[in-house]
Amino acid sequence: VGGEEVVGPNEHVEIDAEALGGTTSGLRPERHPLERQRTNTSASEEGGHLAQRRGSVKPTQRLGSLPVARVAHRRRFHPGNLGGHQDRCHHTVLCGPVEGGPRDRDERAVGFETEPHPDEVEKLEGLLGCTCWEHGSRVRHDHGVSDTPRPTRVLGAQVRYEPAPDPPAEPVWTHEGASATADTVWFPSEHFSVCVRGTTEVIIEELPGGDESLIGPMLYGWATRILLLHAGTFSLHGSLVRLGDRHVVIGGNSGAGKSTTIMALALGHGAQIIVDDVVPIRIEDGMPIAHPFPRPVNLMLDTIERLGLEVDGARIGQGPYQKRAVDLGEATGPVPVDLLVTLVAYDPDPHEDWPNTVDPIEEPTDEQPVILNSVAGAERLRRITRLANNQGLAAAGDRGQPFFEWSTALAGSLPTVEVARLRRADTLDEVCRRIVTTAASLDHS
Amino acid sequence: MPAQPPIFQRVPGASSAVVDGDTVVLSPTDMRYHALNDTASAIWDELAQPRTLDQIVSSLSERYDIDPDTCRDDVDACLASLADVGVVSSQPAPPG
Repeated sequence: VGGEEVVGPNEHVEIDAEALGGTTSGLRPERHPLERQRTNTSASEEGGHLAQRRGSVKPTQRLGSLPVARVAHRRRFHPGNLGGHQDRCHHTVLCGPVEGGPRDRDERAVGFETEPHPDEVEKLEGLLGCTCWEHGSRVRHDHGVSDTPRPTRVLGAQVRYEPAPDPPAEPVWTHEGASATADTVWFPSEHFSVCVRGTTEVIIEELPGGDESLIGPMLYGWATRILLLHAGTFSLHGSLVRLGDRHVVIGGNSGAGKSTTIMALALGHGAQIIVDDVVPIRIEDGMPIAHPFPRPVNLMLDTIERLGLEVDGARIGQGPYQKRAVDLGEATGPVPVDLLVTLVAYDPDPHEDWPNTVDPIEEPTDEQPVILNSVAGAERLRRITRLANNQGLAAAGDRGQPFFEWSTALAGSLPTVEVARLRRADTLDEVCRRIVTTAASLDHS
Repeated sequence: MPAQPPIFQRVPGASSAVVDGDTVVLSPTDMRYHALNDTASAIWDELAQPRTLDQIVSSLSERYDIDPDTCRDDVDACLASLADVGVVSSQPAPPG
């Protein structure tokens, strides 16, 4: 689990552009009524105009352009962990009393920051009302983990920490252990099992040895997408920024560099970050309108260091790929989306942890480490379905028809470019420059 | 009485949309998207109403610089492809 994706990548809905090929021998294309001038542009034409329209919805609120260091270091012991399910206890246990730290329902300290004295162990067991302390490996594993805030609500849904119900016998969708009915989704991971019911309830069952710091990203990522789906709203896997008077979605698979790019755009080009990772979009009067919601940006530690940020937000994950959460505060109101940038991080010799998951239109090289191409027609639709379909879940069951209408309307109205870069740090500035230039070149007509 | 030629039609639920000039059809059986080339797109347009093979060939032959035999072969092959992906079906013409 890389923090954002609980279920592995796959495509359920795809465009078979070749399925009907080979039947054009008799019809002369020069007389075909649909003959048209393609609008693809090459990297050298990035400054050219892309067909563009103005939306009627204006942002109602602005965010600061440097959303850094706004998260206080928080230590919480979630009340949902106290009592209840003694036979499946996965309590987070810190070491040593924390002055002013987490407390239980009766306002008794339950957190520790150094190796606990045996008396403290006994005290802790009494507070928790269970025998969780016997899970020695779990306790050691969780040292320091509980600085992660554990949301009790996400997108208006209640988040409960309790045993998840069994998955359905006859799901309408399955993928790598995950399954769904029309209004409920179950998905497992090595850290926790999650059940999202309708638009009102998220149940999280933590598993022994699991990393609870991944709960937040899961809630703001997968669970949010599912809640949106249940509410009839589709979303793009991407981040939304305001560049000048344009709103740009930076889309891409996990690991493509979305969060890093938007932070670099904020720091170096005055971009306003509106929402990270999940961009809910509705088609209103034929125009794509984003409906942002409040959630943090999760940044890799090396990215934080490279960008020179001071971030004291919640830690997410373990080891070299751990992240920190950067709070963005309140969300803006609905805004029109003017441009979709699909980021592709390409490695000619990929690391096993970061495989090339998307083939770029044109592969970047050492001589040309960043390449921009316009994406048009069915290929644009293919990119959008990849960013929106959540391994087939978005179009599952009765949502197939509405997802088709949404995705084709979005692909028909949203100018799209692909920015492919070599997966190395020194391409970031050029990626940002290309995005800024492209957004500025959009036709205002 | 000679056999009536089959009538080809769009499968109910097979939606289509034009995306930036490309026609895309949704197969209702497996929810896959299929991007049509220009030939398939022209035939799909013809199938806005149920048509026989002869009617489609006649219409396209009038619109394109193509001999009827070649056009018939192309349309026949394309209809088979569209049927394979579940967006077109055929049924016997009603008697009379």
